[in-house]
Formats: sequence, C-alpha cells, structure tokens
Amino acid sequence: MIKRNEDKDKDKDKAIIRRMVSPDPIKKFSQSILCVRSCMGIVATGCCLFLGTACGISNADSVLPPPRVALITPAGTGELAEAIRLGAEAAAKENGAELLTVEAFPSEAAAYAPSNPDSTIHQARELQELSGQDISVYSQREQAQIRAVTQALEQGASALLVDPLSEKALSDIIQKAQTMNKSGMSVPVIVLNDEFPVEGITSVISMDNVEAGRQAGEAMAELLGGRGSVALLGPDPVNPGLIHREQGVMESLEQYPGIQVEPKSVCSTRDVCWQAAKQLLDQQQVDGFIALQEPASLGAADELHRRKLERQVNIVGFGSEQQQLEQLQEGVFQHLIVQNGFSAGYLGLNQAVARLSNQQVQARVTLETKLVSTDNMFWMDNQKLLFPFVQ
Amino acid sequence: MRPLWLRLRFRLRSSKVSSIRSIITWSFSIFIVLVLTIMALLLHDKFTQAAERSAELTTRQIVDQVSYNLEDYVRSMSHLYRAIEEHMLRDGTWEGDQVDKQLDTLLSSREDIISITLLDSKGELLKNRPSAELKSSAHVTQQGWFQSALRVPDHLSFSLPHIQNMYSGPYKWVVSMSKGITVRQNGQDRQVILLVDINFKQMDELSRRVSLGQRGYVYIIDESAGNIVYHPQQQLMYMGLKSENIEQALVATGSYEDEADGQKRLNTVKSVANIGWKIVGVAYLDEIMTTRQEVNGYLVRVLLVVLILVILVSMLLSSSLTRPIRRMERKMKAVERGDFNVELPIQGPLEVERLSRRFNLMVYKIRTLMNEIIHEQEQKRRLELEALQAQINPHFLYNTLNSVVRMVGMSRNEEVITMITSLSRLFRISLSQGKTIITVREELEHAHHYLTIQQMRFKRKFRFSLDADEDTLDCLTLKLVLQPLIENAIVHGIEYHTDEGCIEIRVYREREQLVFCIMDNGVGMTEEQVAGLLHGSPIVKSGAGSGVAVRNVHDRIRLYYGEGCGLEFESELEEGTTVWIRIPVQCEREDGNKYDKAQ
Repeated sequence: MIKRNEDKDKDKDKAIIRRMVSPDPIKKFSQSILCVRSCMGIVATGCCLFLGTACGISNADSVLPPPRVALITPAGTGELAEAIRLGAEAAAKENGAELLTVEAFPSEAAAYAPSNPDSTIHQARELQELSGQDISVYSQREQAQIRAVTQALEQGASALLVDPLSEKALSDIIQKAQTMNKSGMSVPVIVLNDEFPVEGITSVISMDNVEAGRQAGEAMAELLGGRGSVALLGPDPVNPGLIHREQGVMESLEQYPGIQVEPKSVCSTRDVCWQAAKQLLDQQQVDGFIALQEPASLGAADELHRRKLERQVNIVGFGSEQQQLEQLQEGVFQHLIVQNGFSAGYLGLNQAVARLSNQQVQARVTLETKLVSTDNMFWMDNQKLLFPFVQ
Repeated sequence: MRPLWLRLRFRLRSSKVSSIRSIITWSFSIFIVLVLTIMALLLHDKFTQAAERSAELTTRQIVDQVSYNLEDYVRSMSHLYRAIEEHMLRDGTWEGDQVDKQLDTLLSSREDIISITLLDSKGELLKNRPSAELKSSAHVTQQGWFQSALRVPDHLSFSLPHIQNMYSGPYKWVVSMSKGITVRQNGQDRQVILLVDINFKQMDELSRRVSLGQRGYVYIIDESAGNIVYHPQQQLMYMGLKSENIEQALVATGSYEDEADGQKRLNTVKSVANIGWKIVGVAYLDEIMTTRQEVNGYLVRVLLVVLILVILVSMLLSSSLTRPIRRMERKMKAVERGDFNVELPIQGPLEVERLSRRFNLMVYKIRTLMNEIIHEQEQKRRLELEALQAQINPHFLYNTLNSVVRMVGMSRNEEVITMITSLSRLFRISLSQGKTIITVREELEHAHHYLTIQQMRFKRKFRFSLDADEDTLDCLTLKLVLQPLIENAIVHGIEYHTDEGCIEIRVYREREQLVFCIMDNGVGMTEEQVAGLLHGSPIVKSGAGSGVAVRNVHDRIRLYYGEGCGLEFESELEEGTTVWIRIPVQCEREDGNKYDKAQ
C-alpha cells in the first residue's frame, strides 16, 4: 500500500519534470532568453538526474528475497510435529526467513498416523514384521515424505529441515537435495530428532538419546525403590536413536542390583506392542515397563488398562502426545521423557539460516529432554512444553 | 595559520590548479558540499529525533490499541460472567431446565466459553455446563482460581492462562474467571464458587496479530508477580534462549529503551484495566526507524550525486566564463607568431570586454610602432643604397675624367666628345630623378654608355655586345647593377689579358626571374677568389678593385629584393668569368616600386 503511494509520488515527480523539460514556444525571443533557457535546461536535467538518483538511492535499500527453508515432518498431525513447526516459525520470523511447510502426507492418509519422530513405524515395517517382506520397498509414508521434499525443492527451498522416517528415506532425500536444486548448488539438509548415520547431513538436531535412556532408567529405579523386574518395550535394532536409548536405560539400571531387566521385545506399533506387553505379563511378573517409543507406551498402557493393573505396574515412556498426557494425568504413566519440539524446530531453522549465510554451523545440536511426572505436568513451564499451542 | 595560508597560496600559484576554471569548479563544489553537509548534519539530528518520536508514537498507539482491545474483551467477558451469575444464582437455585436452557443459550452465543462450573467450597461439583464428569486427577482445590476465589470472596478474579484439566477431551488453554459467591439457600448462606473458563485463543490471537515492524511483538505480564501471561516466544524463554527484562517492565510506565542480543529495542508499556495485566510492546529500533547509519549512507550518496552535479555545472559555467579568455590567449599566440592583424571581438562578460578592448588597442599600438620601425628601416636602407650608389660615381668620374684629360692631352676631340656625351648620359640615367628603380632599357643604355667610355679608355682592348629579349626591356630593375660588374670584368678580367677581350651582356626571363648575364673571356678567378667575392666584410671602400663594387651590387640587390636574389659567379682561370644577376620580374605597369618616394 505504502509502496504504491511511493510509486505514485515518483510518477508525479516525473510528470513535473517532464513538464519542466518540455519545450515551450519561446523561440521568437532573443538570444539571451535562449541562453537562459539552456541554463534552465541544464538545471532541469540536473534536477532530473538528482531526483532519479535519489529515487535510485532510496530503492537501493531494497533487501534480497528472504531465504526459503522447507520443513518436512512426517504426517503433520502430531503435537510434536506441530511444536516443531511453531519453533521453526518463531526462528524464521526472527531471522527474516520464509518457512515452507510441506504436507508430507497424502491426503488419503490413514486417520491414525502417529507422528512421533522416533517412530519408524509404517505399514511396510509392520507387514515385514508379520510376513518377512523385503525391506527395500518404500512405504506410503516414506514415499510421501520424499515427494514432499521434491515439492519443496521445486518451490525453491534453499534449505531443508527434515524429520526423516527412515535411513533409506533420508539418504534418498539428501541425494535429491544435492542434485535437484535449480541454482545447481546442493541444498543443506538439517535432520531433526534422528541419528541415522547418513553422509551429507549439514546438522543434526536431536536429544541425547543415551542420556534420555539414563533418565528413564533412573526414574524407573526410583519408582520401584530399586527392586523389581523391568521390561523394555519397543527397542529397534536398526534405529540408532532407539539403540542409544536402550543403551542408556541399561547403563542406569546396571547400578541397581535389585532390578532385573526382562528380555526386551521389539515392536513398533501400538497393536504389536500391546501384544508384546500381553505376552510378557502372561509369562512373568513385571513391575515396570520402560517404553522406548510412543506406540510402545500406548500399547503397554492398553494392556494394563485391560488387566486393571494401572496402579500396580509403572510405566515410564517417551513422548508427549495428547493421549499419553491424558494417561499421565490419570497416573497410568508415572513419567514421560519429553523432548522440546519447539526448540528442535527453532534451533534447526537457526542452523539452516546460519548455513545459508555462511556462518558457523554446529554439526550436532543436543536438545534437552525433560522428565515429566503426574505431579508436575501442570506446572507453568511444563504446561508450555507439553501444550505448546493455543487452540 | 597565516604562513600555512601563504604556503598554500604559493602551492596553488605554482600548480595547474590555479586556473580560473579549476578555481571556480572546486571552490563552487567545496562551498556547496560544505553547505549541504552542514544542512545535512543539522537536518540529520532533527530527522532522527523526529523519527524516534514518531516511532515511539506509532508503537504507543499500537500498544494502546492492543490494550484497548484486551480491555474490551475482558469487559465483555465480565459482562458475560455477570449474566451467567444472574441466570444461575438468581433464585438461590441452579437446578431446573429453565436455568439449563439459559446457560446453553449463553454458551452457544459465545464460542469462547469453554465451560461453566459451579463448585462448593470443598471443591465438590454442584453443576456444570456442558455436563461432564469432573476428573479427580485435576485436584480442583489446589488450582489457583479456586484459591483466589476463596481468598477474596465476591471479587471476580482472572487467572493466568493455564491448561484446563478438569474434563476429558483435548487440553485447552483457558483463562479462568472465578468468584466466591454467597448464596442464600433454604434460609442458609452457602459459599459457592462459580468458574467460567474462557478460551485463551482470542486473547492469544489479539496479541499475536500485532506487528511492530518485522520482528517486533507484544508480550503480556501479570502485574502482581510478573508472570508471563502471553509471550510469542515463551518456549524460548523456558529453554533459556531468550529472556525479557520483566523487572524493568513491571516498574516502567510509558516507554523505555533496552538492548537484547546487541540490538536496541523500544519497549512500550501499558496496563490493562480490570485484569491486572500489563502489555509490553517490543519494537526493534532498526526496523521501525531508519537508523543513523542508513541516514548517513543516504546522505553520503546524496552528497556524492550533488558533488558530481555541482562539478558538472561549475565546469560548464567556468568554461563559459573562460572561453573568451582562452580565445584571447589564442589571439595572443597569433601575435606571438608575428601576426599583428588580429582583432578580438568585443563580447563576453564585462571584464573580458574591457580586456579585449585594451588588447585591441595594444595590438593597434604595436602595429603602428612596427610600421614606424619598418618605415625607418626602409629609410635607412634607402639611405644606405643611396650612399652605395653614390660611392660609384665619384670613383668612376675620377677615372673617366682622367681618361678625358688624357684624351684632351692627346687632342682626340672626337673621342672626347663621345666620351663626354656618354658620360653625361650616364649621369643622367644614374640620377634618373632620384629614382632607384629604372627600366631594363635604361639600365642597358647606361651599361652601353659605360662600355663605350671604357672602350675608349682601354683603347678598344675589348669588344662588347648587348642583347636583351624584347619582353624584358620594359621590366624594372634596380639601377646601376650592371655597371660595377662590367667594370669588374674590364678591370680584373680584360685589362691584364693579352688577347682581345669580349664582354657579352644578355638579358632574358627565366620563369619569374629576370636574369642579367655578363660574360667575359678574361683571366678568370680561382674558386677562393669567387667565394671571397660575396663574403667578407662589406666595407665600402672607394677606389678601384678589391671587389667592393661587386659586393655593393650584391648587397643592394639583397637589400632591395630580399633573399634568393643577387649574384652568381662562374669562373675558370684563363677562360673567363660569367656573372648572373637574378631579380624578380617587375614590369613598369605594376607598381612594383612600393617604397620609392619621389624626392
């Protein structure tokens, strides 16, 4: 609006100048007047020049178009993904960057799409678990994510914030980012919440999974008073993040000779984990579940709910989805290890901007995790962490 | 100061910088730029002050607007609360369809009411809309709104935004309006607590929508304890990535400036009535007002442009001023080269006009002086000529008269008569009314007479012939050029020659030159003698021989006709000598005798 007015003003100036310079019929006058006129002509041209340059000067302050950073999370329905987006938005506003959020999920997506970034669940895996299918087939979600990256690059993204679904998907994304950009430069990829060992990542923003595992183990040990049997639900031998968590849990529980760790059961969806919990509880006495990922904790909670054992068996879980929080409030979970999605988005975007403006980039940014319990979940700062957005 | 100034002046004088043109250009430019710079500096301060003020004002207005909107919202919510209170507790009872209907109407009219809850002082649920089960895990009695309602009865208190966790369903951010109310029921006073939870979304959006520049924002704190009510980056604050100076905001009224992450920010504070909140608008100074640096950059650019313009204009101006001066210089150079017929046009600025006039006068003076000098020189030359010519005569007269005397002594009367006649003719031509220029015809006649006389003197020791082309006879020549050469031929060539001498004189035109050729067959000369004839000192000596006469002729011709004319000799011993006299062709019809004045 203001700009338009400026343009108008400029036009007015031009018009005035044109009127000044336009030849007027004073040819019949003497030479002196002609001389004066030529002087005036010079002056007018000068004014013209001057105004022109002045306008040029004022226009020279126009800034470059802001860098476009694309954020691609797995199916963006979960709270964490939303928190990541909010954080990235806050950082974008601060840095004067433009945030593209590309919906990484086909519109005909299943209603149930847990988007916990650690979860590498998808139907393909599930099927594979059930029927041993070849792993090289991309799942729908992976395909959607890769499609989203392609789309973002087509829209001129100059950096990518990706919360990848799997190692394969990530390497595919990085390959695309290095080849597909219009300007021929490779686009930096910043990975959120994952530790897949893939070449070509600019920066990794993720929690210290070993430390988070330790926290979970400590919390469980405290709950059990240092005695009892603990089952690990939902570890994953191929996801480095989950391997680290497991490592952390084991490290901390080794300190307590009174606590024995049951054989872990690998599962990655709510239903499979529920089945696993059921089997465990059928076979032996379990005093506490440490659910390394969100679907595992939900599955365990389902089984305890079925058996009415919520009060007897402790669960320490990871995640901060709505359902988990409700169960935390009800005391189904005693503790949740929560990571700050907002700061993941915020710091990730900052790294992207730093990279684009050729500043120092940290190859690894560690996010803090927080142990939230039934008692302190409604404390002021925890509220903001657990419920990042007003709706 | 002074010596420096003097030194500078000396420097200027001695360099090329001191031309009028550069003086005008530079002084003009420096002056204008100086004036502009002073103006710019003065304006700059004013401008930045004004910019600061207007930025402050804008921010203040925005913050006031937000505050007003919030107050308005709070007020309308209070009204709503009162209306709910009215409908619910009017008759001391909250049972009945009537009440439910009214409450449902109110609920549906305002979508930002999330729930209406009536509790007794122990936290037991009496009634709620929409009807739902109260979660036991919510620990109602420990919640802030419950406690403040008990603490200050009959006072509507607003809580900080918090998560409502009493009912199942999605967790929502709410602001709780609560009040401890005493109700008369069945003749007994009963303490109840009415809680109305309103969605925080509306307030959140009100605050979020505010834009103060690109990155500016508002945040809200609670005046009593300084808790953050709303902050767009509250998460960052919990993470410790960001902090606000809340203490300062709490005590401040109006505006203050602070600094965060090395950036200056303008904070504007405004209290929101009825709710005990304080709005703080944060605007980054570099966005809401053009910074000094920007202004400086702009000014520098403007100054550069102006400087270029000024230099251009002053160059034009100075060149138009100095053009006549340069023209003068050209004319003066012409004068230097010797062209005095220049005249400067009287035009241009007054001073130049005057100078031109003076110059013209000067050149005129020089011209007249030159003419005078030329005239004098000519006079001198003429006098010299006349002197030279005059030298011939007495010498010759003396010789001739000697011969005549000898002849008279030998009483050869015939010859005496011829001789005297020739002599008188000779002298008549010599005198020729004082003219120095005569026709070839006369010159030849003169030579003829002379030869005749000499023939008689030398007892016909030689013979001679005169032969002139017809077209040369009327041409003009300096007089008495042939005679000395003939004398030379006779005296030096033939007198000591044993054989009969022979003198041939021919006159002819060769291109633009008139040539007299005098040949004799006398003894001739050596080359040294030839060379010595025309060089050496032109001392005029009377008396015979020594080639003085020849030098005379040569010098006279040179004097009169300029370089490129004169004599040429060719001689061989025992063979004879040939002399050529070359002069420009001038005929009698033309007035070739410019400098000849009748006397």
